[in-house]
Amino acid sequence: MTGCNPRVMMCLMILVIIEGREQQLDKKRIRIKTLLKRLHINPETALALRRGELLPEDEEIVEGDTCVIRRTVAGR
Amino acid sequence: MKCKQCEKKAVIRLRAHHISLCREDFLAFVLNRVQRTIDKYKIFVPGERVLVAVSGGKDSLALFDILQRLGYAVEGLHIDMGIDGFSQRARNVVEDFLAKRDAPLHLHALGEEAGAGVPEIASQLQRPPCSLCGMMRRYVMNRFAREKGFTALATGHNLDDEGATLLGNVTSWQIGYLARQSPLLPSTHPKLVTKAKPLALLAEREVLAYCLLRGIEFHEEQCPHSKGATSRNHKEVLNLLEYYSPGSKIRFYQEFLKNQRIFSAIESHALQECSVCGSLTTRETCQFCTVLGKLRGSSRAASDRIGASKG
Repeated sequence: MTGCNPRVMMCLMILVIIEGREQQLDKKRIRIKTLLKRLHINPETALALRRGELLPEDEEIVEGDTCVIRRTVAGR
Repeated sequence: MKCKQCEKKAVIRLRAHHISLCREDFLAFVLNRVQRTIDKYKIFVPGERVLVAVSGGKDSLALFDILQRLGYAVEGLHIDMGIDGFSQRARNVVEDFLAKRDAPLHLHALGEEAGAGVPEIASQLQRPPCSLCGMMRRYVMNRFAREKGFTALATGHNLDDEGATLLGNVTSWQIGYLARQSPLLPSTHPKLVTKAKPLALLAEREVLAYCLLRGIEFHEEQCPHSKGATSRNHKEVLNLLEYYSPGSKIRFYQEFLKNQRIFSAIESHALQECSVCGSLTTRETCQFCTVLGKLRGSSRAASDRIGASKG
């Protein structure tokens, strides 16, 4: 990994933001349904957005995407 | 995933209804569902003046937006409960929201009437802030609506709220509460305003999606006193059931409503007028006046103690 630009590395990851907290996913692509399962979030209590647009649960997000998870009740 | 109505790209899957919908069809679904709730439970009649309790959260702002779009003459009531910082931020959100819609807003500050906000009152009387807050808000809402001539008061309770309340009432077999829980609580006395919950058949996730798709900016902050509230645990339990068996929440609530008459034979408490303010209560003095009386008493006692120690 010598010579790898960390900024480029950042761009190639998936960034997930939940209630203001950011975390990076080392994945090339992932379905919203799988992402929520991985985060232990019940899909009945959350919605996913990319660039402000709602994403249904079978939608995939890919590296470089920023996905915001909104919870139905804040602070869980 | 395609929209069931128009085959465009779907933005949301509603597992309880076995459908996926695009933005436009989802927004139409929400309006249609609320209108059907209003019609089914005969909540409002066309042209009726409706007071909407607007806290600034997603549910109350969505309700206001939906009722306005459905053509009802709505006005907002915001009660500032005097919770440090939190209440001020909620009030700012409500003022912005209603100003953009050029809609009437009525403001009531609890601190101006009681001399203190909920946290101070709770601390002075050593009572849980949440129950105190709920009781005082209900009192102020009913009194305000009655005094200003509104025939109905609407709140933003959604299916998750109603389901959580129902589960709480069932787990402790609160028969009296079970007999009264409904999307419509009709007025049974001139001093009681009709209370309505037009969002009762919409899941909390659907209300959140509605706000996001409409671009409604709501107050997202959690009340600092609501952590650990039992209703949140009940919601989690119901959403877990919903996850494993889609449609559980709506079945739980709607089947209860269908069979509610089982509980209606239970005699309700006789109501009388409060000896202080004249509003209806099951006691000699209503809870609101009892709290204010104790508060004034404890303030007087405190000042007497200070006076005595100075003397």
